[in-house]
Amino acid sequence: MNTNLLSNPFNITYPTAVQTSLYSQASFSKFDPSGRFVAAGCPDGSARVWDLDTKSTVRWLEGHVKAVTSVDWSRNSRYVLTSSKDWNVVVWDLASETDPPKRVVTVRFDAPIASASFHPRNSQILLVLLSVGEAYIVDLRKNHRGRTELCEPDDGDEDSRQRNAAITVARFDPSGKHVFLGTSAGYVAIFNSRTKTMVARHRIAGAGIIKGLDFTRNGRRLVTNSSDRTLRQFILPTYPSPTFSYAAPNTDSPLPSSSSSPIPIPIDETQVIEYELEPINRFNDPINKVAWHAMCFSPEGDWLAGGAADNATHKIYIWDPQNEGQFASALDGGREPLAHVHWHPTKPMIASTTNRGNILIWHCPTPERWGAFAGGFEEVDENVEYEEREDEFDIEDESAFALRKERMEEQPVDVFSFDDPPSSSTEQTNGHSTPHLNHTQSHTHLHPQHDQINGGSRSRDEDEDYVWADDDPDDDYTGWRLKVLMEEDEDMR
Amino acid sequence: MDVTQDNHVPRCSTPLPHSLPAVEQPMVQHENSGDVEIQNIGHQSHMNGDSATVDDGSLMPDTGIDMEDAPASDRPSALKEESMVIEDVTPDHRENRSSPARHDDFVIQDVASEPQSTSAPLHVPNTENHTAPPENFMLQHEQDMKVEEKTPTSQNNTPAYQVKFIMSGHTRSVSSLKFSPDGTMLASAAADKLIKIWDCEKGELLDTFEGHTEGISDIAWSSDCEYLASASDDKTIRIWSMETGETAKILKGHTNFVFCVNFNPKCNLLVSGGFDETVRVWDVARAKPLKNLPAHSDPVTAVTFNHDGTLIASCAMDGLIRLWDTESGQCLKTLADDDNPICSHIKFSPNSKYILASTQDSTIRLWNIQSSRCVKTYTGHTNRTYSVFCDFAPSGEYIVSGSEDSRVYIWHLQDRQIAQVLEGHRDAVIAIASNPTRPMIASASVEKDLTIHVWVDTNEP
Repeated sequence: MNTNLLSNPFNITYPTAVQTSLYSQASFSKFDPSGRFVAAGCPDGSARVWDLDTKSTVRWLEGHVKAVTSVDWSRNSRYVLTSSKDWNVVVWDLASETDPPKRVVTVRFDAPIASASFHPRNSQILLVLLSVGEAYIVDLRKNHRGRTELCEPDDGDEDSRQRNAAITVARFDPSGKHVFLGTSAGYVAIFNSRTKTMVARHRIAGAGIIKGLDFTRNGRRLVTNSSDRTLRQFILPTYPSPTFSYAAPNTDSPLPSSSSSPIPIPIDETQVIEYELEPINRFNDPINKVAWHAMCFSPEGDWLAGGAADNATHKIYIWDPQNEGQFASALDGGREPLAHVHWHPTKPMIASTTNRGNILIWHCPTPERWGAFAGGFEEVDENVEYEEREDEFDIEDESAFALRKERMEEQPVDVFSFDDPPSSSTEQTNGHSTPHLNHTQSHTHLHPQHDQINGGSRSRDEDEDYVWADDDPDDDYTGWRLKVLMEEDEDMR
Repeated sequence: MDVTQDNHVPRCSTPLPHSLPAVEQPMVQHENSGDVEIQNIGHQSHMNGDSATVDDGSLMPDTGIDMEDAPASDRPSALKEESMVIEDVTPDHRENRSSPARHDDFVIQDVASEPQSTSAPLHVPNTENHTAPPENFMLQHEQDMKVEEKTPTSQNNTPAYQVKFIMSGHTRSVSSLKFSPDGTMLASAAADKLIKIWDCEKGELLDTFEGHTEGISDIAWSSDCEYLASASDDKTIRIWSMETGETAKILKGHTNFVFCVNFNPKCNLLVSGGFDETVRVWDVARAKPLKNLPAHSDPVTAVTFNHDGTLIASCAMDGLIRLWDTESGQCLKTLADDDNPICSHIKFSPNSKYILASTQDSTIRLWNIQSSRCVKTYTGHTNRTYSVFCDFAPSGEYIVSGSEDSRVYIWHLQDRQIAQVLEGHRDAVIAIASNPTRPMIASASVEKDLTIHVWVDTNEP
């Protein structure tokens, strides 16, 4: 709403300065999809939710007894998922009126949890990665209840056993149709989240252990972090749904290396797409050769932020991933080494966590416009030759002026309707859109291929994967409220 | 029982630093007063003699008030403390008032069922110099109404507000009225340091909040109806929990009277303005100040958030309306009229693209925020002294405002014509409120009346 009035003269769309430090014991921190909150997990087993308006903790998620390893937010921020080394994942309901909030569910595994995330369309579907390298999809819905391990088909040969190395990272893609798994052998395996079968497998040459994955909001581009200290950006092909069968399976389809549009790869049920994915960009620090703790796309994928694993400084590198991967800026956050970095879902804002547990909120400061204090005063950047209208300073007849004003006021005004570009909150009122997935974009970029394949009859809502995910929906509705709980004792915490 | 008037509320005591002669500046009196008896001079001098009940000055504010305890008939015992009822000093006033009301601590008159009440709505299209309602006023009016009902008026869309309840209970001027966001309750605040919560459907008093040590100028509901914030002359803001009826937080920091207050839509922030000329943003849950904006050069009369909470608008007696970025606290824009009339109240339009601003040149203007232009002006009412509230009427196609000629004015939003004038109050109407969920308006007036009128639109189902 205030965007019309805010002006950024230099149009910088990445953060440049630290706005606030949130003092905590966090090991990582993550913005929620609305951008209101930051959730942080701590090594002592607690997690907290910060309100960015007041820069204070609004909820303490206390339930784990060992270090919290990840947090995730449901699409409308009502549910928070925490995973911990205590073998548990917990779903918290922020709409409950208590602090700590109500635990919706606790799922116990038989090993420490490395990470856990929600399905982007339904928070009752969880993706859980154990530290022993196994990934599970946990479905909490009544009709689908179950826990399925995501296993690569075993071909029995030496080659596949090598590939079946430990899974090191697991993510849903923004549409939720696929799960992307990174392995310690430098492979990225793509599973269909509905059928839990592998649809594709890509070797990433020279990557070593895959340490992290991130997607742009439309799911078209992927960035990987790996043990060779390089971030790689890929354009993803469109993976077909496994139940589709096509006439001519062609596993040797050309690499979609630098092409701008995804190449549909037809496949039949039994076939797995398998080829080496060639990165379109590589990002590294050629001088210091630092490794990267974390990386994150900006909301529209315009920028890529990489958190350097430098043990003496706190540095965030920012690249332009669309413009040949040009280096744009390095943010210096002082002397506390960086542990984690996450980009705000809508604004040029980054949360970076130091290894001492402090969260730095980076923003792009707008210069104060002093002209705004004077009514009817306009600031100009440089001197402008003013051209006076012929009658500008003529003394107008008062009645004529009144008449003109009267006529002007006849114009009807619309005090009800909103016409600003849909903000993240209004966008989410559509039950089908996900915060990571721009509705219109996904339709035009992701699905035409499917539409063509199926004679154009398959619309987004009929998509089997979406139908499956939207079955038995969760209660993560847009209008939920986080109740303001009065802090009882001022210096309690 | 004598009551000294030691608790003026700025909104009700004509805080007019510029426009009043020095003698009549209640603000000055405020600052020097302490516990000394203060007389409400400005009030009297601005009545202009056109109101029905103005007389020779022997009114309550100028003399000591005789109070007597009401009979403890069926009154809830918790209310005993405030069960004082003002006895009118002038006998001929007593006639004008519905006398049974004077002997109860709070009285609801269901006017719809008791047509003999003297307080009834009057459909007077833009009449100037309306004189006092005489004894036969009601009768005459009833006839008017009947005639009007019989003729199928072409303007079905004209509002026909009629009084539904008249509620009394406050013992000093009512300064602010706010409907709860769910539309079921009405909160009123007054110079008697009390906040009262009323049921809109039954007109019953639900609760009374007591705690401020000075009069209250403004109140605001949180959007979830959980909390109520009140701004007081004791320089504090109190946040009341509706669940417990107790003070949940006291926000301290203003260095002078707090005059206006509002929650943001998420209810985690509160904005306030006051006579210390600042706008302050507070963390509600922690009662901590977050921002202190040196916003104006005169007392701030209204502050409000826009619909998504990203903007704050403030207006002040310096005649300026300023827009602020909530996150950074930076001033984004200033709206000012050429003549700089004192700004009484501002209100964002439902889509936050316009600001409705009432100024003390008896004008209400609708400003386009983007173009900084005034797109509509509404006139006909009187506002020269108090910070009179204005609002969009429940259906939204109307503008409603109080007036110092003891009436409530309703204009058509688009063509700026007066749609209806509500009569019934006997003193300046400062506080008005539009019910967010039903066709209902509440109004309240100052010292000589003290009643709250609830009006419903009979043209709406």
